[in-house]
Amino acid sequence: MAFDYGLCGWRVRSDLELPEVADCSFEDSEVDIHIYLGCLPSLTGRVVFSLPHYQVFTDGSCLVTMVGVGRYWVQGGNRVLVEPVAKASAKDLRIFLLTTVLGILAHQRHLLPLHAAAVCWQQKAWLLVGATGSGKSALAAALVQRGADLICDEVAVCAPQHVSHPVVWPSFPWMKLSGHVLVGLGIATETLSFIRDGLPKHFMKVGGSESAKPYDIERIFILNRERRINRPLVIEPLAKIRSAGLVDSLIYRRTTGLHISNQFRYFQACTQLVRQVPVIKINHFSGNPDCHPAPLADAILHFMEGEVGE
Amino acid sequence: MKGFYWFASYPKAGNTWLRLFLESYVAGGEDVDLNQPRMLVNHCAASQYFDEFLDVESDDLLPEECLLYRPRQYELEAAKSKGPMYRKVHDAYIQTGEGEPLFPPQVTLGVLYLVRDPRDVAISYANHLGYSLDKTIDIMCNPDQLTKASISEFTTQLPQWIGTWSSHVSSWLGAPCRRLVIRYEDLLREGEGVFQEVVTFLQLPYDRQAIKKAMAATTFERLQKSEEKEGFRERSMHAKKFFNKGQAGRWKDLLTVQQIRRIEETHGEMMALLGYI
Repeated sequence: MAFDYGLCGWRVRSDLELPEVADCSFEDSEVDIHIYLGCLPSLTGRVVFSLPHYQVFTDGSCLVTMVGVGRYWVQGGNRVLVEPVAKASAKDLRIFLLTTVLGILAHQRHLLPLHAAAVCWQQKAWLLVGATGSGKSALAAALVQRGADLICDEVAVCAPQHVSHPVVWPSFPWMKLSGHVLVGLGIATETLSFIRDGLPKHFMKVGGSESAKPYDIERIFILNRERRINRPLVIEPLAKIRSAGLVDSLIYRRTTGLHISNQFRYFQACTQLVRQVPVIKINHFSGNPDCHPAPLADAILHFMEGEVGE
Repeated sequence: MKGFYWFASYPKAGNTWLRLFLESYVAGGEDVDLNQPRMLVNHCAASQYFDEFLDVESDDLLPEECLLYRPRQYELEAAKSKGPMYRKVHDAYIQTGEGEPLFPPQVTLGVLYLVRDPRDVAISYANHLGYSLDKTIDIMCNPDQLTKASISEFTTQLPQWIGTWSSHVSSWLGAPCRRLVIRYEDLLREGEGVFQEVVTFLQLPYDRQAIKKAMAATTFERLQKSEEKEGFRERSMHAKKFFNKGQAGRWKDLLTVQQIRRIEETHGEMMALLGYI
C-alpha cells in the first residue's frame, strides 16, 4: 500500500508512512516523487564525490548511508529507494528521509535548500537561517507562540527565481527542540517523543501552515551565536554583497550539493535571493537574557514593526 | 607536516590553562582574550567541525554513530590542513565500534597528556558539574562515563567517552604514539622548565622571553580577573566561575577521610605510578 502526501509543493507517493507530513491536497496532479522500500541494486556507476555518508555518481544520483538505519538512493530529484537495515525503526528511517534526503532532492531539482526554519507572519515568510546551534528552531518556536505559523524547520526549500519573487515551500509542521529550550518556552516535555530513541531532542508538532502553496519571502534573518559574552543583542541589516556569501555558506548539505549541481548555480541563486529579499543579521548570546528565544522573538517583532513603520 | 597534536586530559586537569598559555606564547606572550581566542587549540569534539567536514547533523546521530565517524572527520581535516593542528581532547584513547582508534595514528603527530592528582580533580570537577563530591567521585569511578552533548551554553560538543580516571590515564599512557606526559602540579611548581618542554615537544620555535611573558599573561590570578570582567564562554552553567582556585593539594582540606580512601582504593595503582601516593 502506498501513501500520498504533499511536501514542498510536490506530490509524494511513499511506501513508508510519513505521519508528520500532510496528506496530499492536490490529487489530480501527477506524482512528483516516488519513495520505495526495497533492496538497492548493485550501484556500478562512477562515483564523483564521496564522504562517509554520501556517494554522488556521475548522473547526479546520490547514495546516503546511515549506519544502523539504512541506505537511501536518491535519483533525479524524483525517486528515492530506501533500504532499511534489519531492526531499523520507522522513526529513524523518517528522520533522515525528511531532512538529509529532502535536501538532496531539492539539490537535484535545482532548488535552493537552506539550513533554516521558516515562519509565516501576516502571510509573508521569514527565513531564520543559521548553522547548527544558532537557535533557529528555538526562535521559530517562540515566534509560533506569538502567532506565527511554521512553514518548515531545519531545511527550507527555496526557489529564488519563482515567478515574480523568491519563495519558500511549506514542508511539515514539526520541530526538533531540546528539552531546555522547551522548558524555557514553558512547554511540557513529558508527552513529547524523542527524535530518535537515545537522543535528547524532542519532536513536536506546532501550529503550522495549512497551505500547500509557497510563501513569498519577506525577510531573511541570519542568526549568529556570538562567541563573546557580556555583549548586547544586535539586530542589523546586512549589505547585499555580504549577504549573498553568508547565505551561500548556509546552503543545506552544501558540500554534497556542490557535487550534484554546480557552484555557479548556487551563487546565482543566492545572489538572486538577496537582491530581492532584505537580509538582517542577528548577533545573539545565549548567556544574555535578552537573547533567550522569547525575548529574542519579541525583539525581532519590535524591529520589524519599526521597519514597516519606516 | 600535517596532522594533529592532541592535548589530552581527564577533565579539570589543566588543559584549558595550557591551551591559553600556548595561545599567548605563539603571539609572543600577548594577553589572551578568553572569549575570542585565536582558536589555535580547538576542541576535537566540537560538533561544528564534525558537521562541516562530514556534511551531516550530529544532533541526529546516536553517540556510537558519531564515534564511528570521528576518525573520518580527523582524516578529512588533516588532508585539508596546511600544517600541524592542535586539538583539546577529553576522550580516553579508545577504539570505535569498528575496532579502529578514535584518533587515527596516521594523522597523529603527538600527544601532550596532562594529568592531575585525582583528589584535586574531584574538587574541581564537582564545581564544574554542579554535583556533590561523592557523586563526582562516583563519576570518576564509572567506566561507562560518557559526557552529555554539552554542559556549557556556548559550545556544542559531541558526546565524549571518558571512563574512569585511571582507565583514562592508562589508555593514553599506552597509546602507540609520540607522547609527553605533564603533571599539573609540576606546571604549577616548576613553570618555565615544563612549559619549555611543551614548546619543544610541539616543535615550535623556542623563545624564552615569550615563554616568560606567556606565563605572566596566563597566571591564575590574571585569568580569574579576566573572567570576572568579561566572563568565560567555557564556564559550565553549573559553576560560578571556571578559574576557581587552581591550586594543588586542596584535597587535604576539602575531602573527607572516606572520600580520600575511596579515590585511593580505586585509583591507587595509577596514582602510585604517577607519584601521587
